[in-house]
Amino acid sequence: MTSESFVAPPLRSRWRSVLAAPALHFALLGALVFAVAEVWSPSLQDVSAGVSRDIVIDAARIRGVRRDYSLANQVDADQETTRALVATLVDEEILFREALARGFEQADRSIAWRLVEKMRYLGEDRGEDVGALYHKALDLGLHRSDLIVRRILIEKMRLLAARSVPKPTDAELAAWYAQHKSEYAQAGRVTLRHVYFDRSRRGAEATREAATAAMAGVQLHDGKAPPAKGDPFVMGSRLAAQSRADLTKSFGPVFAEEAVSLPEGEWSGPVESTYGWHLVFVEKRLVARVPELSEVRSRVERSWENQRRIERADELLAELRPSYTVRIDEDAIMAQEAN
Amino acid sequence: MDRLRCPTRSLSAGVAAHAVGLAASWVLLSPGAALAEPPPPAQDWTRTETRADCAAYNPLRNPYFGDTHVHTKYSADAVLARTRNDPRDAYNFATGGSVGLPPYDGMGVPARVATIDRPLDFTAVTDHSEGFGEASICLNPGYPGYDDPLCGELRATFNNTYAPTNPLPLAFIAFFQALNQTNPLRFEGICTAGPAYADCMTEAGLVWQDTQDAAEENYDRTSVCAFTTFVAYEWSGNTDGDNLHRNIIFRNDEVPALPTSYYEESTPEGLFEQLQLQCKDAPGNCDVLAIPHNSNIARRGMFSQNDSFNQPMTALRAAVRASFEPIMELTQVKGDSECRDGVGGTADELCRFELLSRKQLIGGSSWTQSFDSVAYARGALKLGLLLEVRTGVNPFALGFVGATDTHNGTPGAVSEVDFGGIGFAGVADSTPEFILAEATPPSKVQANPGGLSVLWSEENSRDALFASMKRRETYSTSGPRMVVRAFAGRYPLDLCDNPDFVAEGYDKGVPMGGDLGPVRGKRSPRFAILAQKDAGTMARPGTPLQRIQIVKGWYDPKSGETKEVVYDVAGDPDNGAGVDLATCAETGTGFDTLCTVWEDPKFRPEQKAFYYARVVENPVCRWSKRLCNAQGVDCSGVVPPQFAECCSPLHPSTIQERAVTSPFFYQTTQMGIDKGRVSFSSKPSEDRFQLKLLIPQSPTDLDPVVNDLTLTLRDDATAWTATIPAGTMEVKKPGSSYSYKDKTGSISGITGLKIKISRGIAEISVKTGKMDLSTLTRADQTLELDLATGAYTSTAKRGWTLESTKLSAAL
Repeated sequence: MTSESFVAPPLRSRWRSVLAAPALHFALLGALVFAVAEVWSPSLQDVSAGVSRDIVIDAARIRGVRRDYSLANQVDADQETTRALVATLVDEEILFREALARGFEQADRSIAWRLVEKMRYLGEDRGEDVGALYHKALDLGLHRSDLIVRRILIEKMRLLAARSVPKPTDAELAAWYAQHKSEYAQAGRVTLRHVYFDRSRRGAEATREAATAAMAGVQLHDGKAPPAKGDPFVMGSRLAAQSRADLTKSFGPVFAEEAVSLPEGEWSGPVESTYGWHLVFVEKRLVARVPELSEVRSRVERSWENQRRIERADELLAELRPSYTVRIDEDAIMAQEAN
Repeated sequence: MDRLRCPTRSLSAGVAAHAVGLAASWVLLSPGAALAEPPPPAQDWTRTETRADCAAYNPLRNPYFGDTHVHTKYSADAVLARTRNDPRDAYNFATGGSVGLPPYDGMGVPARVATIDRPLDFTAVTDHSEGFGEASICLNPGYPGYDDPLCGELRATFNNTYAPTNPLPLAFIAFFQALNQTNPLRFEGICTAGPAYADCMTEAGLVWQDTQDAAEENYDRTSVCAFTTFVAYEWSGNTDGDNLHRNIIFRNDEVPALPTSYYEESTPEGLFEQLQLQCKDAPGNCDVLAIPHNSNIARRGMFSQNDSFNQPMTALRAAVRASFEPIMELTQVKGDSECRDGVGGTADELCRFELLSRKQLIGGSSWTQSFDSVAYARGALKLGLLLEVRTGVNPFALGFVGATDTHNGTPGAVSEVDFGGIGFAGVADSTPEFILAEATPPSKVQANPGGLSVLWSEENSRDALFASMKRRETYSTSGPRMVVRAFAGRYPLDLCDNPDFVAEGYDKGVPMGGDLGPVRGKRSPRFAILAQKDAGTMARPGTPLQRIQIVKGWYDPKSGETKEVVYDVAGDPDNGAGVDLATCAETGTGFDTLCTVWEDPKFRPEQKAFYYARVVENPVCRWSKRLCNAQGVDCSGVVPPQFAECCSPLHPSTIQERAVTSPFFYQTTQMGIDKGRVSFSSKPSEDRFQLKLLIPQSPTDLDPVVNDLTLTLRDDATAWTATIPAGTMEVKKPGSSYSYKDKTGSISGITGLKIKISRGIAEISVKTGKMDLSTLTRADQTLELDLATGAYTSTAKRGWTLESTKLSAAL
């Protein structure tokens, strides 16, 4: 049975883009900049007519992608995988046709090189210069059947899409930032002073007793000054703007958990750490917050651009798909993996 | 060599002392009594970036943990290992995110996912600049080079099933053989023939730009200063198979348009020249340093008494080298480079730590071959002292950092527990069978998780961290996060009882990596070291400390030789701590903190020396032992062949993780004689004299406009002296070039005098006309030269040799 339908929407899996362009995304951009700079500058609009809008994915092509998959992965493609492979195939076909519609095969160094090689291989080299040979190959339509040329053209389309990402407007950036704020959130922090009683010097119990005794002395003078001298601590006696993670690094996880909730402006403790006991004075507490866009703008801009480049290739396809009719041999997809 | 053990403050003594001192030291203080803390050290950097000040700024500096050596898919060898993580993934991993690891299936789903046990504070992604363009071209249709046979081979490798017994891929060999050549050439088939290799350079520029973008995206410029990235790359020359690689770290986002790779400059000297030209001398705030790594597989290539052109090291070359390379990478996945027991006068059982059976990056493997002393930091530091004696400048006054060199894009994945599942070489480490194989060291079972760099810095920003690397206030750890302070200076012996230990440390001395001396008198400087064990996490508590050691190396002017010795200075090497090998459970006790003030019992003020501290943990299971146990390998029973290495005596079951601080450098002089010649005449009063002096860090008082300048040449007595009054010299360029000419030689016979100050290095050249130097003996001898200007005085001492009528300062 052959059903006629649009292709299913593309997979939204996080690996989708990897499947679509298994290679270095960004490096593709490089190839494009080169290609564009050299030969080509129109925008993605202005598609000329004259390209067929019917795509047929028959059993032979489905078998083909399955074969490639199992060769590369040493495992057969199941039905779900096959659908994804077919979806990719359809997308590539669209991009290929759109590239041809735009004449991307003209004046392309990579394609020229490939086609000239092919002409020579086919014995079609009659001593013409390279340019003439290239045009002869195009006239013969060799570029339509060559897999490498096809691949180059598909990548050119993708890259053009990526390159067409403009700088974000303030509003776009603000909207994007609103959605991604959590990635920039800043943890709560405390600035503290402490008096340290080193357990290694005098044993656990004596250390705790000493710290407790010193804490009792706080009542005597009710001040902000340290109530005792204590022992040297490797991080020093004042630590500014410490997150819980920072405190864990310096004092161990038990202390960090307790210290973040100590009262401000007075001595507390003794609080146990990995290294002994501490009397702690929280000078200042900074609450968790999300920074203003202006504080993180350069980071946000680059992240926006990077993501938009990836998205743009998908968007282009989404824009192009409705103008195509796709017929897929469902029976071939349903067929057992064994073939 | 004798292993000296000096009096150590034992735990019991410490407890007793404190019990007695209880009443005294814990007396309650009256309010305001704690204001006696000395001032903090001056901040030695200024901000070159647009960013917020850090809220956690600490004038007494914080320790920041990070990784300075990370590869992603922009490195050609990582590509061959099927790594798909890019610099953004690497930064994501470093800050606590998860990343995939190969193999990937056809849908792009990774077989493994990795997460760091604890986030890092900073990371530099350092991809191999030599393959920036080539790898992209091979993997992405669009350039003609895509269809080059070598690219085809690379892609075929990429799609093959991996096995440890696979021969090295031809493409890998081709790429890396090119980097063995003295005159390396890019691959024309890939890059497009032509002088400029246009395709590869275009592509490299884009990879470099993305490297910068990824660093910017992940650099926290807010006052939280949660994470710092560096724009960086690796220069990957392995001339004749010796690993000469350097990680090139830029101070900020002002960087050259393209990296200088081994293809552009195939010697470190050439690399530094380009970095000087394209970065340091460029307008703006570009600054850069290089971190050499894996000297353990460089034979004598990394630290040599000759330059790359096989000429003896000169003072100028040494000064340039020292200015670009303040620190070295002491430890990483491909082995530890601190020291090797039994090599070059090293007798130290802790120098059997993560050693490799090979001594070249590309070369044979054998545990019994002879290894080079200068392949290890200790030998390199000793050679540095010798070269300083010869040239006046120490080219290898190196501080220490640690790193991973991961090729997975997993910076800071240094846990012995996790390494068996993560590895560092992509698909080659992807199963227990693969990673435990001995197939091609230094990968596989000889590999280790590598270490971390710890930078003492006022805040977590690029400028601040860069400055700490420049002044060597750094240490290397083999993975754990012990915190170590080390100071040298004039301290009371009871500094460990002073809660202002850190402030006193800075105020009355220098921190790790600092220069000391010369001292007047014969008293040793005091070394104050305070260490606390890794704080750990709830799930994985830190391992207790076992001891602190001080490693000393020195130059003995009498014998002309360098020596080394290791002292235990705190803790207890015989604390009985161990490991139950069946479960990897740790047994016995250790120390949460250790502190000591130590004096060198054999200190000699006239001996150049370095001192570094090594803080050693109790033993733990090595990653391989943990993995072998997890696979159920029982060495007393039948061992499956794929796990044979589990039971090889060559791979230790336990290790002692450690932190190694940057050395203190005890200086006897700060000025060198670059060239010198006395030409004796047969006629009286017709001798001539010429001299070139070099001061690696030009003193501010060296200003002939405002200060007199006095030079004195001495053997036992003064042979010659001259004072050039302030204002006598012509100013060619203020602050950098001065000249004096006088045919009559009215000032002590001087006919020409030049001072040139460039890149912070001062050169002083003196030439005399005919004069009387008859008091000098006509024989080989040691001469001293004193320079005094303003408050600055310095003495350079070196051997001079006589050849016929010429007495020359010898190389």
